[in-house]
Amino acid sequence: MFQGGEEDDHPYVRVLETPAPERPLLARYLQPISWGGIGFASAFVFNLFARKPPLAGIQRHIALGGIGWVAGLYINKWIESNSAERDAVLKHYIQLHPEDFPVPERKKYSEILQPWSPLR
Amino acid sequence: MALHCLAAVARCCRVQPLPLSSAAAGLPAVQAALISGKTMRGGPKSWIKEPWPYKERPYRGLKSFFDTTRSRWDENTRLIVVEGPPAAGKEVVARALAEEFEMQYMPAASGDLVYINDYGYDLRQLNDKLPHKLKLLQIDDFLKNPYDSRMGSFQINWFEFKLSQYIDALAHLMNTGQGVVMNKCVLSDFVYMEAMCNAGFVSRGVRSVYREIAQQCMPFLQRPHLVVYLDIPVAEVQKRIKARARPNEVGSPALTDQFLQSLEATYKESWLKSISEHSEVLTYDVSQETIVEHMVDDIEKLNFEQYGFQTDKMSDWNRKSDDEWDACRTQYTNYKDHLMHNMLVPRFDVPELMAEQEDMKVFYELYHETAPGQKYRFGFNPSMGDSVLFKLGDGGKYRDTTKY
Repeated sequence: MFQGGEEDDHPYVRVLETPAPERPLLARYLQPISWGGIGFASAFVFNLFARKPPLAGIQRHIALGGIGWVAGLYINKWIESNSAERDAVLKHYIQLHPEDFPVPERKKYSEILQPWSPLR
Repeated sequence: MALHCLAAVARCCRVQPLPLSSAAAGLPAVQAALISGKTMRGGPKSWIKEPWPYKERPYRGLKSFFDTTRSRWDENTRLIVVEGPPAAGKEVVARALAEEFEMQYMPAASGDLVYINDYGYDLRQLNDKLPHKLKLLQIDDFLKNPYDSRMGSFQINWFEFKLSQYIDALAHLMNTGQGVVMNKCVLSDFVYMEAMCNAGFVSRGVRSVYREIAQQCMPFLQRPHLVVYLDIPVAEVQKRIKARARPNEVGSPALTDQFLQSLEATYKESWLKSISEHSEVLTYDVSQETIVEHMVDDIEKLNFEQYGFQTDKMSDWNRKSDDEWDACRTQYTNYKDHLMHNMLVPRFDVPELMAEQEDMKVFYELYHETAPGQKYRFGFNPSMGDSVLFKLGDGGKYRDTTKY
């Protein structure tokens, strides 16, 4: 992938590098939503311990939710970058050792099955 | 009388606290200055600094860099406690002393102070619906029936209120620099428990729990500078009780001679002995007449700064550095619950002090949920008309035990 040449052209690598379809909204924004939700909920806990009504001081709910959202974005980025690094390492390994990854020969059932006549 | 005149001359000069460097070296920050009374001074008192509005603004953290506790202290920043048997005239004397020395007066515990919440709702109205064991009691209930099994928990609740009031007194003293005169305090409350136990009003189990609670709470409190004990014999107490004829006191089965004698004995043999190791104690025989001017004269001669590090006298007031005083002040003003939580002693062996679970549920629903202004902290009750959506902070009101 980096150097260019025939070794890039392993069929497995070609398959692994086809672009993925657009993921649904919930999957893309799972981390920001989750951590934002945790932040928002923690403001309710704070009010519970401080003997205040649940929605008192809505600034706190908004601020903690916002901090959670941003934290989720950065956590998402960290997760994606870890996965990307792992994928790159595996792809490069395939490219370096193509003999360990032979493309299997496709056979038809007509070549495998033996002749049979329906007599018992 | 010569000593008295000398003291008067010394008081005419304004007293400055020593610079803070010498205070950090462990020396007392205020020079040898005696309490100055209004009459002898003859002119207005000069306050060193504006008092910190501790009832509106909290004192925490960074503020301690800008506002030192001891910068407000002068010769009148003292904690005085007036003690004595019932009907000794403690309130009259304490109010007179507070007026003379321009100190804050703190009243004795009463049902109004304990049971009226911050919104002005009297919680004693709930007594009809509360279960028997959990009714809100007052001193009148003790006087009517001292053998009631609820007297143990009543006394412990009263101790809790007195502890809260003492902490408020210390907070007032540290935040404003004004002295405080208290009418009976938490430190002597145990004499009532001892007398009640000796008279058979409460069991020894209750007394044991009470002793444990008191033992846990006391180390965090500064003992007073001065204790004024008003001494009258038991016969005179009984006479005065009959004379002032309060409806519940006359003919009360609680105020027996034996109870009052036990009270006096514990006061003198136990409380005054132990507190005199730290505080100055002045005892007055007020059976004939009460002359407050004599007490004022004696108090104005007392020198609280003469004691060093060899003795335990005044040790609660002359050993702390500025930082330690700031930390104390923070705790008493804003983290009072930490000190009140010392009362949570895990003693479950005394059945009179335990309540049934079903009763607790009823109590909780009435006291903490449905009564007006009880569900949330002060300033955050939408049912009482507070707007709460954008409100942060503490609610802006300090539980005030000085208003009576």
